[in-house]
Amino acid sequence: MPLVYNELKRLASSYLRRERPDHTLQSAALVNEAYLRLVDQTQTRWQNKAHFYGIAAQMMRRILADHARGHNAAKRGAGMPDLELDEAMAQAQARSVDVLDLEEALQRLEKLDPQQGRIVELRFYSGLSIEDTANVLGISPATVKRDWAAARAWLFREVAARRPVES
Amino acid sequence: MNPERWQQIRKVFDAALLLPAGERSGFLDSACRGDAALRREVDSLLDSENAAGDFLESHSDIRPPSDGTIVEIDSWVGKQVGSYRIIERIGFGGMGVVYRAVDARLGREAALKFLSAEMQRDVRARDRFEREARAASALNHPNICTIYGVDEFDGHPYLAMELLKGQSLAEVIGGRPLEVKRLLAFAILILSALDAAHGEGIIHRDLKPANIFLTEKGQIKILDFGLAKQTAVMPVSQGHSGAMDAPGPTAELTTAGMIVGTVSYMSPEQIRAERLDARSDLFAFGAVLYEMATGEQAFPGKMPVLVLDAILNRPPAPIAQSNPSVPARLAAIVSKSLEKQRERRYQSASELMDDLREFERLQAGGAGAVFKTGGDFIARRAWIAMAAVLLICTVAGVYVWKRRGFSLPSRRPQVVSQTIARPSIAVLGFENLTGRPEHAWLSTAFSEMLSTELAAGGRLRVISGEDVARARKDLDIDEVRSFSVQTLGRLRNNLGVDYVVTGSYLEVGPEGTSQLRLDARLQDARTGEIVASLPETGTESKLIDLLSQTGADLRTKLRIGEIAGSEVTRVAATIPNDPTAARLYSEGLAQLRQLDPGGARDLLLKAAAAEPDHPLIHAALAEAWSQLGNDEKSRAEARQAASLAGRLPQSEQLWVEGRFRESTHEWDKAIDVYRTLLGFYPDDLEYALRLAAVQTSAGRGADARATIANMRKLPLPASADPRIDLAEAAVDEMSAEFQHEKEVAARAAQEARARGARMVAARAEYAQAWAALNLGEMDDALKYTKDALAAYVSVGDVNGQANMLRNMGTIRLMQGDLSTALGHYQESLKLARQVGNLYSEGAVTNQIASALERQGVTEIDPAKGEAFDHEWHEAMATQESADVPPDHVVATVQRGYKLQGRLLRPARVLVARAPAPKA
Repeated sequence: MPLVYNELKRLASSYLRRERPDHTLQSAALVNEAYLRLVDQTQTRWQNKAHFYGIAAQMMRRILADHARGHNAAKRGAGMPDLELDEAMAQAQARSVDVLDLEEALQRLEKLDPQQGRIVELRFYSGLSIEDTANVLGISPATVKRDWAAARAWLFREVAARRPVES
Repeated sequence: MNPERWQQIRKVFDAALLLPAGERSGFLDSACRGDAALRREVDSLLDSENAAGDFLESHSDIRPPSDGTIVEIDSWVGKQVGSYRIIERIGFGGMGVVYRAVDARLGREAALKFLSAEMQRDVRARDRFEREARAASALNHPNICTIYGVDEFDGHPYLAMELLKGQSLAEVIGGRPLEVKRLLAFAILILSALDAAHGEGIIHRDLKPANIFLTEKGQIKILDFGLAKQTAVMPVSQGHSGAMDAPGPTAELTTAGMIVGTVSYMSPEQIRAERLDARSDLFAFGAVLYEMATGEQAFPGKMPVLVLDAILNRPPAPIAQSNPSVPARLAAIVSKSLEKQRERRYQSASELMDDLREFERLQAGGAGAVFKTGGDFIARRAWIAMAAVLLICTVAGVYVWKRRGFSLPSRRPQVVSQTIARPSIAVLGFENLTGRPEHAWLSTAFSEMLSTELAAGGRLRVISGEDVARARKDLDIDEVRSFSVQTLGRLRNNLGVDYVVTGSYLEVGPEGTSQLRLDARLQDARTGEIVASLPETGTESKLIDLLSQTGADLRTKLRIGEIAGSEVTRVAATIPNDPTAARLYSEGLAQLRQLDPGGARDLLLKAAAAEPDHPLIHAALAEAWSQLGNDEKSRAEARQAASLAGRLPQSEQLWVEGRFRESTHEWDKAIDVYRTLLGFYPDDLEYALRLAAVQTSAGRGADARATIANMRKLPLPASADPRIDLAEAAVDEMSAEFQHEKEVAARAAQEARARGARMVAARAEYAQAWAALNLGEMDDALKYTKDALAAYVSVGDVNGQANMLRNMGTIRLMQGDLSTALGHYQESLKLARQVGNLYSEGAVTNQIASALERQGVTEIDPAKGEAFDHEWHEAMATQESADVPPDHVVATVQRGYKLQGRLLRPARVLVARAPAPKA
C-alpha cells in the first residue's frame, strides 16, 4: 500500500471514529500530523501547505469511498477484516453521512461547479475552516461561505433524496 | 442540469438566503417570474438548507474564524443601523461590505458601505475612507453619486450613499467601441461633473470606467470621489544595507514595489508620485474616452510594469487602427488629453468640453436621443446582476492585480511568432589568461553581461547562465577556448543551442598601465566553424565599454541589429556599478553555480554591502538562501530584488518578479508573470518550465498539462528535453497518479542519461523513487533513490545527497529496518549541517524522532511533561536568539504542538540537537 495512502487511512479511521471525543484533536490537527510525517519526502515536492491539504483532502475522500465500497462488498460476503474502519463507518453513518452517496453526489456537483467541489473537499474531508479554505483556494472567505452554503444545501438534498427508507 | 443553470439557481438561492425567511417568498416571486422550474429548485434548496442542520459540518472549524468582526459585519442583514434597516448584502470585497438598506424615516433606499475589519485596522485605508466621504459629500451634482452621510455603527464606520441601479461604464463598453453619439453624450456629462468638482478644488484621482456608472434611467454617476492613491509605487525599505538584518514586518511589505489600485488610467505624474491637479483627472478622462472610442484600453498590458512603462514612455496605438470609423478630429482630442506632459494637455475640463461640443456640432444631431432610450440596453432586470455591478463600483478593490483568466484586449508583442524558434546562443565563459586568480571573476561578469547584450531586442534566444553552468557540469566541460565538433554536438543536444561564444582575456602592456585584452569567439554549434574572432583591448577601468564593443561586434556578425538606445543603460545595469560589488557578485554567482550556496551567500552578502540597491545581487542571494533552506531570508531578498528591478531589461525584470512571487507562494501572480514572458518569447523552454511548475504548485493540473503539451510542440531539440517529462511527473504527483508518474519519470531519466544531463537524471530518479514509494514498491524505491544519490554525488550536489540519504532512511524505516534507517538519517543530518541547510536539518531531525518513536523510545513520563515543555521553549528561544528563524518543519511542529499539546517527541530530539551557533 502506498505510504501516503496508508498514513491517511490511519488518520481517516481515527477521524471517523472521532477518537477521544473529549479531545480537541480534530481533523485539521490530524492532517497536520500527517504533514509532519510527510514533509520528509516532500521538501522540494509539496510546494506548500495549501497544496498538501488539497491532496490530503482528495486522498481522504478516495480512501473513504474505497473503503465504503469494500465494506459493501464485504456485506455481500467477501469478508473485510478491517474492523477499525468498519466501526468508524457505522458511526459515520449514524451521523447521517453515507460516504458513497455523498461521493456520488459530490461527483455530480463537481461537474456543475468545480470550485464548490473543491470547497466541499477541503471543508469536509480536510476539516479546514472557512478562512483556511479561502486561503488555500485564493478566494475570499465570503465567497467560500456562499459557495459552501449552496453546495451543502444541494448535497443534502441529493443525499437525502437517495437515502433508502431502511436497508 | 447544466453548469449555467446551476449558477442561475444558486445566485437566486444566495440572495434569498440573505433575506429574513418572511421576505423570501416575495423576493422569489419576482426573481423567478416566468420560470416555475427555477422557483421549485430554489425552494427545494432552501428547504434542504433548513433541514441540513450540521450536515458535513459537525467536525470542521477547529478554531473560530480568525476575525470575528468580518463575520459580524457580514451577517448584519435585518439589523437597524442608525435610521437604516439593512435589507441585504449586495457586495463585498477587499475594502469591505456594501448593503442595500432602507431609511425608514425618509422611506428612501440607500447603499451602506462598511469598511472591513481588516481595513479598519489599516490607518491609511480608514483615512482614505473618511477622505472620500468628506470630499464627496461636499459635492452636489447630478452626475456625482450623492453621499447621504458618514456614521459609525458599533465601532464600524460606514458611508451611506445613493443606491444606484444600472451598469458601470466598463460593462457598457464591454470591449466594443461606443457609437460616437453616445460617446459624446457620456463624455460631456462626465466632464460637467469633473468641472464642478474641480471648481470645488476636489480631484477625483481614480477616474476609470469602473467608477463611472450608467443608471437604469440613463444617468451618468461618478463614484468614489477623492479616493486618494498612495504614492504610486510603494517604496521598499531600502535603508537596510546589511542583508543580514532581520527582515522587517512582512505584512507591511507584501505590496512592495507593487501598485495600489488600477494603473491603467493613471497619469504619468501620478506614477511618478508628483503633485496631482485637475489635469491629472483629464488624462484619466482621456484614457476613458479612448476606451469608449475603441473598446480597448489606451495602455493595455497584463502586468502593471508594462502598463506603467506604456503610460510613461509610449503613445497609445492610433485610434484609427482599432476603430477606423472614429473621426480624425475626435481622435485628435483624445490624443491631446493623453499628452504625457500636462502642460500640453487640455488645461481644464471646460476647455476640453468646449472642443467636444464644437466637434459635436460638426457631427450634427444631438445626444439627447441616446438617453431617451438609454434604459433599454440594460436588459437584465434581475436585481442580483445589478448588485454585482454595485459591488464593482462601490468597493473597487484596492488591489487589482488582474486575476488569472482575466483577459485584457492586449496587443500581442510583435517579437516572435508562435511556431518559429529564434536562433539560440550560449555564452560559455572566458578563460582567465592573466595568471592572476583574482581576475577569475571576470569570466562570469563578461558572460553575464554579454548574454544580456545579446538578448536585448529579443532576436536571439540566449541560454541562461544557470543552464550553461548546469550543462558544463553535466558534460564535464572545462575548456572554454574553443570546442571540438563532438563537444559542440553534446552541447547542442543538451542546451539546444545554435551558436556558442567562448574566449579568453589577458593583460597586455607594462605593469601599472596595463590594459585588458578580451578575445571573443563565435562558433557555429552545428559545424564547429568559427564564425568570428573578435579581439578588443581596453583599460580595466572601462570594462563595460570593452564589453559593449564586443557585444556590438557580435550583434553585427549575427545580423541582429544594434541595441535600441533606451536599452543600453538597462543592459549595463545588469552588472553592479561598484567594482568591488561587481567582483563579489560575479564570484558569488559562480559559487552558486558550483552548488556551494553557503560560499555564495557569504560573497553575495559582501556584494550587497558594497552596493545595496542592485537587484540581481538580491536575486542571487534569494537563490542562495533558498538552497540553504532558509525560506524567510530568501523571500526577503526576492522581495527586495523585485522592488529594485525597474532598471533592468524587461525580461529580466519579469523573471525577478516571477521568482519573487514564487518565493511568497503567490502562484497566480507567478503564473501571470511567466505567462507574460512566454507571450513575448514562446520558444523559451525555461519560461515554459517555470510556468508549468507554478501551475502545478497552484494545484492547476489541467493548466500545467496544457503548458506541457505546448512544450512538446516546440522545435527539436527543445521538445525532447527530459525536463518536460519531469514537469509532467510533478503534475502526476500532484494528482496522485503515481503509476503514470513513475513511467514519465523513467522516460525522463533515460533521456537525461542519453544526453549526459546528470542533474536532470538525478531529479528524474528521485521522482521515480517517490512514485514507487507511493505505490508501495519499496525495493524499487530504494533502488531509484540510490541511483539518484549516485548522480548527486557525481555532480557534487550535497543538498541532493542529504535528501536522498533521508529518503533511503525513510524507506528502510517503512521496511522495519530501524538501525539502517537511523544510519542513513545520521549521514543525512551530517550533510545537511555541512551545507547549512536548515530545512533539511529540521526535516531529518523530525524523521529521526519518528524512527525513535517506532523503536519504542516514545513514552514520556507525564510527570516530566512540564520539564519537556520547558526544554522545548528553551530550544526555540536559543534558535531565535541565534538568528536562525524557525524553519518550516520547526514552525509546523510548534503549531502542531500547540494544537495537540502532545508533540513532545520532536521537541526532545531538537533539544538534543545543538543549535549551530552562527559563524
